[in-house]
Amino acid sequence: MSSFATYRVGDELPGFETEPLTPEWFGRYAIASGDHNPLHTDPAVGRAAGHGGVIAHGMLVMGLLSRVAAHLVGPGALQEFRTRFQEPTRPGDRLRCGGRITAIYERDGRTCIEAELWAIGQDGGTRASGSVVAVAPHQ
Amino acid sequence: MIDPAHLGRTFGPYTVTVQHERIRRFAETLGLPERVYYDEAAAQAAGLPDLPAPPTLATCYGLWANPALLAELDSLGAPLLRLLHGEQSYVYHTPVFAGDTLTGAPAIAGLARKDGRRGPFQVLTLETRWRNQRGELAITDRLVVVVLGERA
Repeated sequence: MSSFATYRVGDELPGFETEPLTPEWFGRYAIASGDHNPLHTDPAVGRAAGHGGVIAHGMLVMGLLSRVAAHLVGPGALQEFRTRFQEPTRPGDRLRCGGRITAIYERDGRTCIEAELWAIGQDGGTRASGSVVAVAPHQ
Repeated sequence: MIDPAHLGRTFGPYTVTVQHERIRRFAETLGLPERVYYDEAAAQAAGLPDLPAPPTLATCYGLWANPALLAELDSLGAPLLRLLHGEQSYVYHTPVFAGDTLTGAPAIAGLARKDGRRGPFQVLTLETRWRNQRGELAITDRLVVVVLGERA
C-alpha cells in the first residue's frame, strides 16, 4: 500500500503479470467463489458455446484487478470498483494487470483518487478494463 | 429472453453470513497478498475488527453462486448457459468483515433488447443493495449480463 500523498495524475500503479492461467485455477476459483457455471470447468460446454474450451470466470479476472486496486488503498478505503469484461480469457493466457491514476481531488475534506485498470493478454488484447475510486483513510 | 414486464421485479431476499474460511480461501485463490485477509491478529493490528472482505467477495453471494436465483432467471427464460457476464460494479458504503450477515434482494434494474450480428440478445442489469445485520447499506452490487437469444 502506498501513501496517497505520493501519487500524481498519470502515475502507473504497481502491476504484475500472472502465471499462465490454467483450467485447474478456474476449478479452484469455482470452489472458492461458489460459481459452478460449467462454462468455466467443462471443456464440452465451452466448445458448445463457441469458445473452443473453457474460459475464465470474468470475476476471476476482476479479482486479479483487485490486487492492483489494493496497491492503492487498504481494505475499507475503496469507494467504487467497476470492471467491463471485453473478451474471453482462456487457459494459457498470461494477464498483465495494471492501472494508472486518472484523477486526484478533495471531497468533504478527504483526498479521493481515481484510477483506470486493465488486464491485457500476451497478444495485446484487453481482456478486461475497469476503474476504481478510493478515499484516503481518516488521519 | 426475459419478458420486459419483469423490469423492476425483485428476488429473495437472500441472507448470507460472511465466513472467515470463505474470505481466506477466496483471497488465496486470487493471490491477494495482504495478511489481513488471512490472519485475525494481522487484521486487529491494522485496526480492523476482523478479517475484511476482499473487494470482490460479494460475488460469492451474487447471481453466479446463488442456485435459487439462477433457477428464477431460468424460469423467466434466461438459463445459465445463455448468460454472459458483461460488466460488474461495486459501490462500497460500509466495510464488511467476517461474521457480518448480509441481506439483499436482487432487482431487475435494466432490461434492454439489442440486435447483434448473431441475432437478438438482451442486456440484463441486476442490482443488489446488501445491508448488514445493523440494517446499514453495505454494498451496492450491479451486474450486467448479456442474455443470448435462442438463435445466437
